[in-house]
Amino acid sequence: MTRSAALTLRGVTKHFGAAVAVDGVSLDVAPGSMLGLLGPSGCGKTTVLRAIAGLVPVTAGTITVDGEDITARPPHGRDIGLVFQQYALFPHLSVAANVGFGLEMRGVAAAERRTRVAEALAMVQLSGLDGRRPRELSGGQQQRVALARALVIRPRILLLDEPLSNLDARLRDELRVEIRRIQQRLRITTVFVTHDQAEALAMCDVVGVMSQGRVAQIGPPAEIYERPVSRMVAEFVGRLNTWPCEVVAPGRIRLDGREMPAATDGVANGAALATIRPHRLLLGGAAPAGALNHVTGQVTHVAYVGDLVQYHVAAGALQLRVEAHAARHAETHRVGDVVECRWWPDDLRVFGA
Amino acid sequence: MTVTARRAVLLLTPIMALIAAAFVWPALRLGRISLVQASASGAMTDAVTVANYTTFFTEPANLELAANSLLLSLVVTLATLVCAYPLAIVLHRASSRWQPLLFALTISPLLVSSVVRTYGWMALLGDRGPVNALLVAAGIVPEPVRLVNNALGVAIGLVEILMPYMTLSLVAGFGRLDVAYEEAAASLGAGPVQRFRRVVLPLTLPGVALGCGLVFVLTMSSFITPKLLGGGRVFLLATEIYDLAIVRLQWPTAATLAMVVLAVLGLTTAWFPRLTRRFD
Repeated sequence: MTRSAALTLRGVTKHFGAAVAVDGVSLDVAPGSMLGLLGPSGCGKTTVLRAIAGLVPVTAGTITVDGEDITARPPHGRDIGLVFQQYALFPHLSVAANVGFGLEMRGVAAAERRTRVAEALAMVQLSGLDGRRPRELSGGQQQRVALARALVIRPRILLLDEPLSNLDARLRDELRVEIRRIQQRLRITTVFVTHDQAEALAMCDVVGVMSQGRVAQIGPPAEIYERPVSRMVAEFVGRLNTWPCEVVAPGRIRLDGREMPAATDGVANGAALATIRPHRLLLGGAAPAGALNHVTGQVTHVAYVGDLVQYHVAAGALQLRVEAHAARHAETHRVGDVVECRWWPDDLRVFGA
Repeated sequence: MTVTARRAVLLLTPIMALIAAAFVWPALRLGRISLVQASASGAMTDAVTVANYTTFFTEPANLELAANSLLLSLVVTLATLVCAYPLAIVLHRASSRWQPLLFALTISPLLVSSVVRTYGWMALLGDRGPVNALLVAAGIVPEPVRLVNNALGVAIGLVEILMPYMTLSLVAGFGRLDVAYEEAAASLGAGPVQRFRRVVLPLTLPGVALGCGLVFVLTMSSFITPKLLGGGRVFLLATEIYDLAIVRLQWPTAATLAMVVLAVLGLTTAWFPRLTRRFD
């Protein structure tokens, strides 16, 4: 139904006066795949999206769709669907007129327009709301109308700008699944901008983490999460324990006075930071015998959050944050308990200080 | 009465009292005078009559006055709208850093009395004024064109004088206009013309109605500018009322004309908000 197009950015740069919003971003989005652009606010991810849509002219670099350079084209000549964070549904038009707007601009005849608008509304499960005004819809419904409006024109590329950030958690989970399902069914090349790492990891084929106008790391979600290339990426995509350490040899560090193996990945000898995700720290009986590294400490804080139990453990100079699944027969610990904490050496990732 | 209603009445009392004393009471008096029969000498009698109205509506010269006034008001309103609309868009989009300055500049003409500004226009638009000098020097016209002492001069003066009111009303009614709607329209394939026609214009209609209603009413009731820039050759209801009441001292006829203008203005103010509601 949709022609899957390849999107390529080469050295895209955007200056706002003296400020550099985007600094030489190069990306390839494979036809039919979904790229998540993840980063803190002000990292330039939205500017990249707006540059692809043609809403901000780039200072340098090229944007191509299927090999065709669209860098200089005005937004209305790009054939790119865009869903805004605030939806931007036309308040003076009905739902049907909103969805049909792009078709009207393309000169699609009224009869075909009606059929395609009805199809698009059915796709987002909003059949029957054609006559409503945007203000009469809930946030989730408005979001679906915005999605239908962007998709009904069968754009070559779909851009989503924080589409779920104004919805409550439950609706967000629901729409997350739905957007992904529609994207995969249409096989439409999509760029999804978000500051929510769970959203990016769960929905996208490829995730690009941005920081200060640059792409810090780009790869499949698991790679971003398991093998972050920097402390910034590691901290942004999930919770993290960070301890000062010293690299004594490739693959060996000194942590709180004890030497142990760790994934140093080319970090030079000397002061460094050792990091590990809280759920990769295993307490007491949960740790299999092969897990080499271990420290002994005392539980100082316990927080039960339903599916997880979060512990704070003080071990020497180290403060450990540990997360354990609250399985039915799992061993639980209380404040004051002395516990043994183990981890696999390659889960302890070391970055330059 | 609920507490809220009582509070509303209390808050409205001062302005209601002022309006009653300074507008409603005089307007009623005016209505009463319009029903007075004048004696042959021009003195007012106690007799009540509707003759003043029947005379007004059967006298072709009066109807021409009314037509002149309506036509001039419509032309001035449209011209002011065309001049003020782009300015209002710029003001609406200006960053919060520049907006206060731009607003101050927009309303700064109001610091100078409209009488003074009218004299300014008389100097500018005269046969030997700078505008004509420029037009002749540029070769646009072979000899000076008549820009004052006619309806054109009156219209030029009124458009400039009323622009601040139009601009502020437009900006006040632009609340729904957000650049995101234009961006959405662009991403859906709408070019600049379609974006204006399908998105910007409908969203700014409340401001357009507000500004046009206000400027129409102000034009209908203006008399100093038409009198001075018209050079006694532009005849309108408002200038005629002034003449009748101050120069010729025919108060009942003047009051009748005033009541007719009041009726037209009342209908206009009632109709303009309805116009926008249709697009909402």
